Order: sequence, then structure tokens, then C-alpha cells
Amino acid sequence: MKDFRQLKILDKFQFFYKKLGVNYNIMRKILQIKLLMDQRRIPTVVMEGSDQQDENMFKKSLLMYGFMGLVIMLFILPDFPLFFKMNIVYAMMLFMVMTVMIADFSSVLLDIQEKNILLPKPIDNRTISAAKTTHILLYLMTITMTIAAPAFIAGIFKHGLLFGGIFFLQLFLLSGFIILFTSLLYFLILLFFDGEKLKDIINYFQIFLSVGMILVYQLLGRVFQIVDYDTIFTPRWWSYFIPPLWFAAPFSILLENQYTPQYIYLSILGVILPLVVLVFYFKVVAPHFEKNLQKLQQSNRKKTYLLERRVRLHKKIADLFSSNAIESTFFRFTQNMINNERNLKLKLYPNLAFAVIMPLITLMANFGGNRSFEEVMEEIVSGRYYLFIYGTITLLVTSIPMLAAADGYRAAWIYRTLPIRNYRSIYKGALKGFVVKLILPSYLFVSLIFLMIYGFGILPDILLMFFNMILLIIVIFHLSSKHLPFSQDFASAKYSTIGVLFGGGGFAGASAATHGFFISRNISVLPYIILVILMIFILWRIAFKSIEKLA
Amino acid sequence: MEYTEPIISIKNLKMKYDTKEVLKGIDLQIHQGQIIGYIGPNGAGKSTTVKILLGMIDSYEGEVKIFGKDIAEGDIDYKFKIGYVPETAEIYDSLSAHEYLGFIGEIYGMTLEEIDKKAQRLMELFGVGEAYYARISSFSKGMKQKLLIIASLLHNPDILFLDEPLSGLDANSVMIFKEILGSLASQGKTIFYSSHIMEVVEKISSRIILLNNGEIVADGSFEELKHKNLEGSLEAIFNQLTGFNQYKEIAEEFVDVLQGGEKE
Repeated sequence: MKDFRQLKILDKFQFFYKKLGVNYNIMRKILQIKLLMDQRRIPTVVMEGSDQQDENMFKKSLLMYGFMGLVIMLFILPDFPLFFKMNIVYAMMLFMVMTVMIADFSSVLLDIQEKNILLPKPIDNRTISAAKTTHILLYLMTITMTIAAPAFIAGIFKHGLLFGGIFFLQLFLLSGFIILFTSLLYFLILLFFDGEKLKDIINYFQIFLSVGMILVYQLLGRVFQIVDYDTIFTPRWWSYFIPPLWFAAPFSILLENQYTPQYIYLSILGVILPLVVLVFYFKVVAPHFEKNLQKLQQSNRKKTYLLERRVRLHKKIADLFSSNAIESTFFRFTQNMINNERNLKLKLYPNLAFAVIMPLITLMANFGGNRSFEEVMEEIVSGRYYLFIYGTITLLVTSIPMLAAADGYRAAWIYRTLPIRNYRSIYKGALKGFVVKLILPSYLFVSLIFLMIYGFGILPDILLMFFNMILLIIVIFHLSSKHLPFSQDFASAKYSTIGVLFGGGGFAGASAATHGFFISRNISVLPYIILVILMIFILWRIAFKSIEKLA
Repeated sequence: MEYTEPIISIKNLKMKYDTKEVLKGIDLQIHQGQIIGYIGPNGAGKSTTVKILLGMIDSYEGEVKIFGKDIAEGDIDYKFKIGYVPETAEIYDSLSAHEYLGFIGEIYGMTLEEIDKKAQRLMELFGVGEAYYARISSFSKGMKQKLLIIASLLHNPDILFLDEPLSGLDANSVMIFKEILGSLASQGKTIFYSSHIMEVVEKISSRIILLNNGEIVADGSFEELKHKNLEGSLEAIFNQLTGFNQYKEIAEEFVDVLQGGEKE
């Protein structure tokens, strides 16, 4: 079996484990297996999730973290007071490492399946839990170091070796602090809620991380225009609760000789608290934590009367959009699945969020410089920025192929045993449910913002873009391979997404050009709208007519 | 509903996967109210038969009639009166039992109120009522199996196809379920029961069909089979008819290998 470099480094600390009464050789074997399995896991940060299941997925994600590190490094370079700089650096690092911990290592921290495998074997508990914590620590260290490396090097050049020394030591404290904090968070959640709730919260963090990544890329060039450094630090009582301040304070003291009491208190907190919590975690929380993990399999009963009312309302809405009962059933089934399938959410929501944010970022690009808010708004209003909604449309429709995918895709046998006479109703209901649940609200939100900026004068344009989007959705559906809803795994759904991105982008681009032509010549878009609506009616019939039997 | 005709009629059913012949010409007439024990070694073609009857596979040769109608004609109305518990418990388990059963039941043409009332009561009777609104992914194996059983019975079908339906159920639930099967059959429901647990098949079946290598090698009540094969248990009959008699030699060698491994 493959021997890992991390383990060879770990070998140097054998004595430490042996002192704690851990069976080091066994722990090493467990770690070896775990590291091997991790190589085959796809981290959240690698968005384009290639199909190769082996090797290097972690290395690939490290590249991304290194890139993040370069962004953080940019804050070291300017000549601001160290305290502010380091504050931003630590705030970003804490945010990054914390989110990575929650998004990618929650599964490790919360794994109860390994208990079924390991506990029946002659291995003591101490060794098992040591393997678990060491496993997470190895990763967190690697990731923290990668994110910190650019800032570390830049800092040494700019501020000297002492900077490097402080920074390096604090990285260990930081990693420890993050593990503790996350565990504490989970511990508290499990104390009050059931496992399903915790899984939901982790899912939201994962979506949050994905959106955050996209935003960082977009905001990269603009960050320096937005941030204003002229503020002066005046500590309040709550300042002592903000971790980046603890870590930033020592730099001011040691490198800038600012021996004010606030900085000294903050620095002491920065050293003492991570150590205290580390000991607290291993001695007090860890044993209870493992016990509480059993709760992960529990699921609390929800309030039924509320649920039943919601189900009835849901049916009314579905009936409104559907032409028969089967369609309505699949409309609701689709929406329920989107509500509940966490992996599907993770694939869908970041893309939707980006679709909504993208035209707004383009608008934001106008701000900055020395112009006043009014001047910028004037320029925006005189332009035709609302045509950027076609970008939103392109991104929104790329989610259509995902309708065929689900984690539980094997459950699709049920379609074949059910007495469904008209298979078209399955697709119609599912597609409508999907569009109403995800695409419609996103589109409405973006158009509302543009309506607020441009006034109701652009309502015909908004309508035209809306109908163009519906037409595009039907075209994409018609040309796609028409798998049953939730009947494929994510890997195969991904292929179609890329095709849709190019095809949909082409369609949206052409529509935007035509639309732009109408506006520039001051021609009414009304005939265009009517034409698109007509095409929608025709294509809708054609698209579903071709479905004869189950795909 | 009363049928004097066979409720299921299979004539010369053949099925090939690529070049491998899985079913080599099966003839079967099943009448209303029978509990059919459908047994055979792994790979004998049991699941394939059931899947053909359910309309999940349509590339077969031969004639299959259910309720007197050829299912190849494409009329799927018969599926309204069929229930199915598959061997592998694949469910859309991110949904709650409430949502999943609501989905299935509505397709069978039931109203949400009707489904809710029935499903919740059935779950309670099976001792899992408190899980009705919980995600199926949080269910134990036995709970999932109970859900599959309820999902197959919810619409009160006339024919039931059960593939290893007891897997994961505790002894008490097994007793309840066997009792349910008995009274369903006496009400005129037809049950197609596929399993590897010979003791159960022996007890509940009114007719046993043994499949081997894609052919029916035995067909009759347990008493008839016993009489014909001069063996005392269904397990022994099974071994004899599938031509398997070396189990002792294989077991001995298995244990030898274990001990040899310890010495080294």
C-alpha cells in the first residue's frame, strides 16, 4: 500500500502518541487507509469536479487554496498599520479555513460508520479517537499552511524574520482553535437539534463556501477600491471576542513597539484561549462529543398541523400550474426533492446565486474612483445594463440538466412499476416544478432590481427577456436526452451541463443582440414578444410530442 | 373482483441478456387467492420473471397475460392493481415517508387525505408511526422495509409481488406480516412470494414453484413436493432438485482453510 509523506513526518512525533497511551502502529495503519480514501473524495472547492476519481484531487484543491493565499498576500503589501493588515489577513484566513473545515471535514468529524468497522476489532477507543483528530489535523495544517504561505513569504520580505516567527507559531494556534470551535459548534447543535438539522446546516455552509469562492474571483480586482483604511482602532468591550484581533495584536507590539494595554491583553488572549480550548476539547468535549454523535441518526418529529396545511397549499399551487393530476403530483415531487436532496442543492444553489449576482457585479464595476453616487447612477441609467440579464438567463438555464440527477437515482425503478398512462405528464410536471421553484424566483429578483433602477419603462424588455428564457428552457429540454427526473447520477448530468452552457450562451447572446438592435433603433419590442410567445406555444407541443415512452 | 380465468398466465416465456438465456420457456397459470412461493438458486431467473410481470422489462419472448390482458399491448391499467416490494430497498430517501407515500399514492389515484389517514395508521400498526414525517434516510433497515411494504399495499392491490420482503424485519413484525399475507389471500388477493428463506416459504405458500437455470423444475403444494421427492423439508427438496449435494465437502474444506491460516 502507498506510504504517505505526512505519515513519515508524523513518525517523528511517535513518542508523543506513545506517551498518551495510543497504539501508534495501529493508528498509523488507520490513518493510511483514511488518507487513501480521501484521495478519492472530491472536495467542495474543486468546482468543475472532473471525472477522474483517483489521485491528486486534494492536490488540485491545494492549488485553489494557494490561489486564495495569493489574494490574502495582497493585504500584506501596502503600507498600512500592521494591526489592520493582520486583522484582515486573519479574518480572511479564519473564514477560509473554518469554511473548509465545515464543508469538507465535517464528514470526517461526524463519521459514525467507521465505528461499525473499527470498534468490533481489537483496537482501543483512545487509538481510534487519536486517529480521527490526527487525521483532521493533518489536513487542516496542510490547508492552513498553503493558504498562509504567500502571506508568510511576503511578510518576511517586508517586515523581517520576526514577523515570520510570530506568524508561523500562530498558524498552529489557529488550526487548533478552528478544530475546537467547529467541534463545539457541532456539539451545541447536536445538543439542541437532531442530526438532520446538523446535516442541513453543514449543507448551507457548503453552498455558502461555493458562492464565496465565485465571489472572491469576481471581487478580486475591486477590493482595494472599496476598502477604506482611514479608521482608527478604538477597542470596545466586544473587541475581545473577535479572534482576528487576538492574532493581529502581537504584530503591533513586537514589530511596531506599541505597548498599549489593549494590544497586550489581546495578545495574551490569542495565546491562552486556543491552548485552553485545545485542552478543554480533548479532556472534556471529545468523550461527550463521540457519545452525542449517536444522535446523528435521529430525526425529530415535526409539527404536523403546520405541515399538513403546507402540503395542502403546495397542492393548490401545483394544480394552478398543471393540466392534470399526474402533472401536479410530479410538480410537487420535484419541488420536494429539490428541498430535501442536499447534494442536489449543493450543485444547484451556487449556480443560481451566481446567476443573480453576476449582473449586479457588472453594475458595481461602475462605482469607485472619485465620482459621486449620483454621477455613477446617472451613467448606469443612461446605459442599457439591463441587457446583462441575458447573462443571468444563460446561467439559470444551465441548471436544467440537473433535473435528471439525484443522489438516490437508483430509486427510479419506481417509475416503471407505477401506473402512469401519459409519460409526458412526468416531464411536464417535473420541468414546471423545477422552473417555478428555482428559475422563476431568481429571474424575478434580478428583474425587480433592474426595474427599481430603470423604472417601469423597461417592463416590456423584462417581459421579452422572460419569454426568451422560457423559450430557451423549452429548446434545451427538447434537445436534451430526456432522462426521467432524478434518475441519473451527478457525473452523467454534468456532461450535458457544459453543452447547455455553450448552446444556451449562444442563444442568449443572439437574443441580446437582436434585443439591443430593437432598442437602438427605438423599435417597439411588442412584435418581438408576440413572436417569442408564439414560438413557445409551438415548441412546447413539439418538445413533448416526441416523448412516446420512458427513456 | 372474482376471476375464474387465471389471474396471471405465462406462456413459453423466454428472456436473453446478450447471449445468456435467463429464462428458457416458462409456462405458468396462477389463480386468484393463491400464495405462490417462487424459489430458486441465485441467478435462476426469479427477479427477471417478476420484472417482466411488472412491465419493467419488455424485451422478452412469449406471452404474458395479467387479468386476462396481454401486457405487451401497452395498456398499463393493470398496474393500478399491482403492488411490488423489490429486493433492494432503493427509495428516494431524502424525502420523508409522508412525502414519498403521498407521491406514490397520488399516482395510484388516491387523494392526499386518504393517503395520510391510511399511511399514518399503517405505520403506527407497524410500530413506526413516529417516523412518518422524518426523512427516510434516517430510517433503520427494518423501518425502510416496513415503508416499502406499506408503499406496495397502500392502494389495496389485487396482486402482490414480494421479493425477500422480510429482510431486516424483527421477529414480531415478521409474525404480523405473515398473518397479513394469510388474510389478504383469504380475501382473494394473489401473492407472488420470492425468497431464499425456505422455512417461511414452506409455511405460507399454497403453491411452490422452483426455478433452476431458467426452467421450472417443480410446481405444486409443499405436500405434493414432499410426496414426490421423498424429502422432509423444503430446504432438502431444494438441494435435491437443484442438484446440489456437496455442501458438506465444501464446508469441511472452508474450515480447513481457516485452521491452516492460523497455523502459519
